[in-house]
Amino acid sequence: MSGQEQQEARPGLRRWFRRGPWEMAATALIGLGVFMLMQPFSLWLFSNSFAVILVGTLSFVIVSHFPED
Amino acid sequence: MVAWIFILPTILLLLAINIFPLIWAIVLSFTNYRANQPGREVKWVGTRNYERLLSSEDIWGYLQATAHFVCWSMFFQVLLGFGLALLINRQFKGHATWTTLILLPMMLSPAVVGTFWTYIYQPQAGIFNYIINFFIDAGTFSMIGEVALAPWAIVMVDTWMWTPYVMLICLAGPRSIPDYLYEAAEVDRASKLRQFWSITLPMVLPFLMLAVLFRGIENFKMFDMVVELTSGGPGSTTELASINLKREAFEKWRTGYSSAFAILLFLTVFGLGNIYVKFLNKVKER
Repeated sequence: MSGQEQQEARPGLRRWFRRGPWEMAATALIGLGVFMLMQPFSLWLFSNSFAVILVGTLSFVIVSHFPED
Repeated sequence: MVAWIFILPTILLLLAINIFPLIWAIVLSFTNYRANQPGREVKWVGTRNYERLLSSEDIWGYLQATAHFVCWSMFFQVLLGFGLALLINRQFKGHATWTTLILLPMMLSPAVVGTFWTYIYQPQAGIFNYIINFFIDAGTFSMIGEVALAPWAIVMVDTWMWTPYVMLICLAGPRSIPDYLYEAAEVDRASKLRQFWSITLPMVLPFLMLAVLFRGIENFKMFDMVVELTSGGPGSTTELASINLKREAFEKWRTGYSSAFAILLFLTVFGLGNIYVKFLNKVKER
């Protein structure tokens, strides 16, 4: 069975919840949160930074347990 | 079962000195607890500490000061550390002696470094002003007493102290590159610049990222050296987040509020640590 066929035969949940893209999204969220925390432009961004970092970090911990591919 | 008995002391120790204080700090961050008033009634205040923390312009300023310190000191340390690593890797005569001399600053205590740099920066008798005035007529100025200069003064001292550490980590990179790669590049008539971009830099990148991870986290928590050097001054120009955290916790005794601040800093470092480890693994896989 080729790689593409394996991909097509994979059950729905496993196809959607792959580690790579989700981990990338969580990483982007953490990076955005840290930027918001330390940027000198807007107090509103600073005020919401904690929530963004928290969501990003928790998501990262969860999605790092997803299957590799 | 026997395995569990062997690792039990370590698990208990970790629970006692790592996990319990963390959970306790999270609990305290939702209360108005003051450690200097143990008899006082402790009230559950919900997310009020976090709301006050995240709407404070002062805290925002301290975090900007921290960002300035972390970004610039890491930039200079990586630049100089990598450069020194390439230089030392050339194995010139006496390179071992030079390596030892270069490593000396990182072997000193940060408190000692902070104290003797206050003498070096001293406006009237300090050697720093003497050297600057030798080259340009800058007059009498205080590196740690002027608002515009103090943030750069702490960056400079941290760079002086920790560049050797970055150099040491980076040195492992060039030394692990086999000679035949460069020989093959020579055969292909690749220029020195091309060899650097295509061989040296990719091979050193994992080590560089490791150095950035270690120094980034350490600088984010920087306390002792800056306290000795400037005590957060002039005004609060160099008051980094960790210095303000200590003031809130052990001078103003707002334990609940400072616990919320500590959780904010912990989460930031934890999140950044995750990102770096992920990218480090990716670079290693290449």
